[in-house]
Amino acid sequence: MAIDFEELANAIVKGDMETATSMTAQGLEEGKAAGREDLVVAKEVLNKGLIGGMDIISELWVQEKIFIPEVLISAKVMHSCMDLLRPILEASKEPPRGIMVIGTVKGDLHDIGQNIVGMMLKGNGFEVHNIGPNAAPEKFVNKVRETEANLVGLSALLTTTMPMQRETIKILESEGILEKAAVMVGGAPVTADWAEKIDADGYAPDAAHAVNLARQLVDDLREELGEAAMAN
Amino acid sequence: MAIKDLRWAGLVQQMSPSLTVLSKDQKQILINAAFEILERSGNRVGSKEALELFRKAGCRIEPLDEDGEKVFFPQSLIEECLRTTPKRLILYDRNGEPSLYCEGRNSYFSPTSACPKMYDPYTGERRAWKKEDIGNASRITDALPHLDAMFALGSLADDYGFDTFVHEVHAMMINTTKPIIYLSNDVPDTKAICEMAAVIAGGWDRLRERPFLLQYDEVLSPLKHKNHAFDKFMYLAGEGLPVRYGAFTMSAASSPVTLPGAAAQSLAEALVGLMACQLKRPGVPYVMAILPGIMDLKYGVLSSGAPEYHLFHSIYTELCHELQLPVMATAGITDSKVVDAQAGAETLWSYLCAALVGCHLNIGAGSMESHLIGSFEHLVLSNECIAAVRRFMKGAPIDDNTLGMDVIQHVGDGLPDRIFVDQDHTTKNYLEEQWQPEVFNRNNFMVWTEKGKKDSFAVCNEKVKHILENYQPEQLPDDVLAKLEEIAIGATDPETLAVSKTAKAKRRRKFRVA
Repeated sequence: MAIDFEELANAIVKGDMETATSMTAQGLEEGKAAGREDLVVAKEVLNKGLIGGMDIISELWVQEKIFIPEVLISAKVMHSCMDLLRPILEASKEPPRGIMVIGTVKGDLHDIGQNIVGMMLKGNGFEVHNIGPNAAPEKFVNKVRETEANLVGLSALLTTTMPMQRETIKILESEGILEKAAVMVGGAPVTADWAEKIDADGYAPDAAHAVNLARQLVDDLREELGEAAMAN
Repeated sequence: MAIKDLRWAGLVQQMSPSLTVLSKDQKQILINAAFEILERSGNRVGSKEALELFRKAGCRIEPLDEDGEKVFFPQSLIEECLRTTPKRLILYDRNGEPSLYCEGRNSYFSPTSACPKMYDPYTGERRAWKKEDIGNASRITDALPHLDAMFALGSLADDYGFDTFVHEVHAMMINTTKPIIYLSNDVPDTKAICEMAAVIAGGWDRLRERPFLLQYDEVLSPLKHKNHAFDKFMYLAGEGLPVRYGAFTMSAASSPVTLPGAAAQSLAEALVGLMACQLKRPGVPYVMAILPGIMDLKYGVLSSGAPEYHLFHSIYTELCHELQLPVMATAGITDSKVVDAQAGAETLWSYLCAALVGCHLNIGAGSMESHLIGSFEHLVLSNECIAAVRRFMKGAPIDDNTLGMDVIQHVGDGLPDRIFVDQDHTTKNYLEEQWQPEVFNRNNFMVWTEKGKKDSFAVCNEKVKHILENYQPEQLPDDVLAKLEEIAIGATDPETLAVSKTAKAKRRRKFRVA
């Protein structure tokens, strides 16, 4: 008998750490007892329970029924549950939803916004590598290579550091990073116009939208790379 | 003295409206909390010069990370530095006349700066700023009597990249005589800007004696201090020019969500800059600053129209008054996207609180969408709101004339026919007593309809266009203008001047906006 996924999703929504983690563990144990394959069980718990819960959270947030602190609490709970599933998922070499390198561009020391975006994406099944504020273009390039990320997030909070988003994108482009990764930009003074002007692949006005944007960009990229592979 | 003259002896006085949100004891609690934060929580400082000064002054310093070390400040040092800080500051205008007396409960108002976009007053389009727009914002501010100082309102980053600030100041200096608040990217920027100011003032000594500009620098809350901000204001302190430093607090994000903690932390953060300046040059003028922001937890944005914002502003101002330090905060900013009811309510409320509590310098006029877009119409709306607030703040003296016992007796004697409107007392006093709005409309419906049914935005927009098309500010002499131009261009990287449009990348991905 499997666990009640709806109950697990609800525990995520409520930010109930104890229930969510113990149900996740229970789900794995019961699957094992029933002789089912670990990976199949783990994916079921992830998709039906954890991501199910985070989808509800995203929806509630978009509808303005809950606020950022609730979303972050749920993301934290989701993340603790993921810690239990990760050994199984990693052993299977199954790639995560997306791998993102996020940071605030060089010269800009403001990191609260990008930290929130990073937490949101983590809570939505992305593997997030946060390289922090004041990150030089080379730091982005190296981290993407090291982690095989397919998404790069560039934050800038000052009108004077926005040009560094452009510089960073130029370098990502010339280093060949953007052949296999998409780049999204954000930050209070950043606009969609600016994002398009500097050749970013996408722009989100806030953390809630950033999650959807990240999903779309990763889907677009899969399609693009898939098509390229077929052409070969 | 006749016995009649003694009639109001106990009453004759000037009303003076004010706002107090903290008791004496409560102020002490918050100030002590700030001192405790400085002593125990530690602040990250990266500036080598400041670290050396703090070390010599007996601060405990622990290694932290590549960006700085953690400094703990003893109470005795805080008290010593407070003692050497001037208790008042006069900012002069471009002509060297005293203009803003940052002392007592005086309050002055100016635009804000760095809004990435602006509303074009002719097309209504949201667009990037050009240098002439900063000049226009300065001209409008120069023309509006209740805006007391100039701050660029916009940002030239789209055109000038990292070299935007010298050009912003250049545009302000040639278009207004009012005192100037400015941003700067680094020490060379600050030097170039001060050099321009010295040209206008007639030398560095004269500039030190009669400063007409103030640099805006910010803490990286929580409890972190940017190297380049420190380098910039330490340079000013070394030159004996006034320094303004403090937190851009986003309570709930960069400080506790609860206001007393947010205020204590912000106070502590601004005091770190004060100590660095006083250690570098005891007696250098220092303005305690704050942007008392609230992070809205529904949208994750800065709110400047929240009631908590105004309360935070008042708390911080009162703490600075208690320490007898000049204080500057943001005020008058609206979260609204258009000049509408929300903009009016948030703007007026903010100015009223700022004036009632007596915050010396309040920057925010023209700023909408919480600093993201600049509006010339909002400058006009601000001028109107400040004018109304100033009438309120003026109160009234209580004396024989304002009590009007004689005219009341005269009308009483002539009952039932006499009324007040045609009495000498009325004609003699009404202009002084009653404020007349220029934007807010008091017509009846018929007259308002005949005059084109204009709402506040339409009236503000007309006034903006009128100023832009007719107003000429006082001009600087030609030789000064030539020198300023030379310095501004000299301070700019030629590559930046040739603003590069990025070569379109080879990728042809669909651009996504979430």
